[in-house]
Amino acid sequence: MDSHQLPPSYSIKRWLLTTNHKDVGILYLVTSLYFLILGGVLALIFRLQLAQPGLNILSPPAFNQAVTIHGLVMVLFVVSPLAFALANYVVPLQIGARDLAFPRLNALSYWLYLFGGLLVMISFFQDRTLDVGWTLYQPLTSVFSPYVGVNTGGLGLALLTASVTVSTVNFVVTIFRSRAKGLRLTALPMFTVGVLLTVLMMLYAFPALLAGIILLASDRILGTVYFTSPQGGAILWDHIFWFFGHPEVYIVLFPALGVFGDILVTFSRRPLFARRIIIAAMVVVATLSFLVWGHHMFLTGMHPDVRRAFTVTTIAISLPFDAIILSFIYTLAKARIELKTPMLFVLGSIAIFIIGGITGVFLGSIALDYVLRGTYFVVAHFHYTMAGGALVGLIAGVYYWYPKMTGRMFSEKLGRIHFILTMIGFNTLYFPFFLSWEMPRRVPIYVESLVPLQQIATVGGFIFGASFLVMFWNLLYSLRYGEPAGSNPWGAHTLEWMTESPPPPHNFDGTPTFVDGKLSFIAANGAAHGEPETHLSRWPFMLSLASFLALLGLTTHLLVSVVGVGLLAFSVLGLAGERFISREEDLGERWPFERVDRMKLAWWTFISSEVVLFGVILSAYVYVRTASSTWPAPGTLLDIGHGAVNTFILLTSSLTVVLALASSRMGSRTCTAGFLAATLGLGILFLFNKYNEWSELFSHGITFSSGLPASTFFLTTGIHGAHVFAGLLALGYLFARALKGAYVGKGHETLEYFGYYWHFVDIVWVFIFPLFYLV
Amino acid sequence: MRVWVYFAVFAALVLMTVLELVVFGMPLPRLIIDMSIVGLAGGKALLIALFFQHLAYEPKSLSSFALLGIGGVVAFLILSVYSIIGIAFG
Repeated sequence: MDSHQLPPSYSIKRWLLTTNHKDVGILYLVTSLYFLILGGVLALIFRLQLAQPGLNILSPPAFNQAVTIHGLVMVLFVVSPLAFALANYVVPLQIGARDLAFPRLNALSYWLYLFGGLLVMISFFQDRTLDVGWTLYQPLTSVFSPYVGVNTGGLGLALLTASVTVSTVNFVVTIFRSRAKGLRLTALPMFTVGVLLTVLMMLYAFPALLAGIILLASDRILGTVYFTSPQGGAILWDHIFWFFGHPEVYIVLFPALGVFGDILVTFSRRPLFARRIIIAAMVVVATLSFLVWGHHMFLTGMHPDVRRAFTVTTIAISLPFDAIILSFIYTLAKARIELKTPMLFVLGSIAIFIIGGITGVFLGSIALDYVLRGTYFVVAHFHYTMAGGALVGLIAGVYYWYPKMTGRMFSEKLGRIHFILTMIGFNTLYFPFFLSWEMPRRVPIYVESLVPLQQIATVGGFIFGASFLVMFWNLLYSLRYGEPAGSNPWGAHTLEWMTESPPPPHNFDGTPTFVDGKLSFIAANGAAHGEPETHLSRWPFMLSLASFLALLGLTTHLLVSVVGVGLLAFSVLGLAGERFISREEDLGERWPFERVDRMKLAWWTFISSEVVLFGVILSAYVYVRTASSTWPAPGTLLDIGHGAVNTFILLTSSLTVVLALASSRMGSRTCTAGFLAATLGLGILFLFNKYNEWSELFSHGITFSSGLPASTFFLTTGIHGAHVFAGLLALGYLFARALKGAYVGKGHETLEYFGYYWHFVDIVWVFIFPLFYLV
Repeated sequence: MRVWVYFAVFAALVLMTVLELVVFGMPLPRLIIDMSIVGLAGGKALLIALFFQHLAYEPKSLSSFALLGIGGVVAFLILSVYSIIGIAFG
């Protein structure tokens, strides 16, 4: 079996090595449903505990762990990955692409997600896992939960953010660069619109989470004092976490909104009412989602002006949602609605989401928030939004696209039973939470008067859980015994239904185009390009396994880390040296990036996420300086000479990088290699100077834990230094290849892409130098 | 791009860094010194992005990616820092 063909679906090799978007989608689907079972079982266990205030099914620490992992797993390892399962399978089909722009990166993002989840699971067996609530509040996490399992769980989250970054870059480039000719952005199917806005939000939200995790890990492991000092502490964490956390609500919701849009059109046999307004409203929500985080912090005593601003934005963000929901409802007016299982789930999900949305407006009010914050009212609100709106909406998507994925129809009867059980179970479980609004969340002890409500909720929880058993049975049974689905069982109009079920590896037997305003297929696809495209690679799995081992060793045995790092280096070289054929569509709609090739777009997308990562780390520095009444004057703690010298070194290295690029364009092999060598030397010199500076500070007794000025300096310059080091590794590889004549004549784009990264690292230093040394 | 442009930008970057150090030592109010230095840093970052990263010659859509990220960070910085102004942390 060569790497151009996919092994049969029963082959383990296929599922370990595949890079095909449909296979990766199936992997995401199965894994997210596995985590759904895990998170669900944890929920049922602590629901049993909550049936009576004094029950001892779980010890208090076990209760805390179960609640925390349930929240983290459901938000980060179930709902978003389930959306990505559908996005992986469906988006390339909906836009007429053969695959995602970077198939190996797609497989890599899946394996990083899986291994990130495994790290979180392993942390259960290291005495104690994360037990601080899914919001990881401070200083609870940094000081009062000193267990090694908490570190492992945090590393699992870090691996997940790496997966998300890789995935985000891939989907952004794919949707912008691989659309069928004539398929404008505003004409995209609603699911793809939802996914595009989701990945754009992820691009700017997840780096904030990564920044927070880095600062937190630094506090826990290195002893920095970001969250243990009163000047940083709980409020700094709240800002960072909710800057990620609130957009995350829309990140999990938008794919479901896209599912609603596509399913409503199919089963109401009408175009979506005010479709452009829906898209515009979603863009407004995506933008505003980054300006509402403060409503999670009304009780922190922050400045009244800021509280008022966050109230306004929080109320404002509900308005576009009104437009979206009204448009959905109006689409159904006077329509001949076909109440098939996917449509039932959409209607149920919208009804639930309306309740979740309205109760969210309550929490945007400062006065009400003082009463309701941290109670079961909040738990009810976000479960109606994220479980009812997002998860149930995505389940509609699973049913909708199941025939396309498997070529088989599921049992409509079992689907309806699942729907009825879901509606009964969900509302029986979560509605009593609204009525338990005086009960604090995350506490297993409560007043006797709430026992009936909690017992009703527990019964509802088991009904809701049982409903998923019906779904699993239905999907598994139908896989073998379901009626053949045909290519378009629902009579839908989007592109994914215009090919076989399941589709062939290259998706379509012709190149889809919308040039004449309607769909047609031109020429042959895939095979027409000569050498077939590659669908298998071992390196995504190997890279992820290596990352997993490297991180696992940090909390188990350093030898495991050493093995992991070795394997990582081997895998990176393997990936770089592999001949992997993945061609971009010849005929594609690429506005607004017609003049930007896909690698360039990918690099800039990645750098945008880096902007947020460093932006948040530098903002944390400005924040703690503002909060501190005293700070060492410039030149007292840090030697300005070291900073100035390093500034000149990095600026010079930026010049040598562009000169290497210019030399490669002019065809000079010697100059190309020479300027790369100079850059390498300057980078090493920078790190050497940094090493000297750190050594001097250590010799004067100034360490990571010597107060905020030292902590912020070591952490910020340490993260920057790590970026320089990564750049030097890449430079070493480029230099070795340049010596052999690479990049001269053709391939000089590689140097330009590397330059984007190196110059960005330079720009970060351009701000670090004045902020830490001069101001 | 012509090579002399790279050298001109590099010269400007070096000059601006020297200016930062000169301003740092000038007998001016602290606020003016700080704002000048951070402003110079912003100017240097802009030069690098425009000419070394070639954003001056790329479609604006590409710059918008980075600008969106910067916009988010600026909103985060302003709102988070403003939220604690006037609050004593001991």
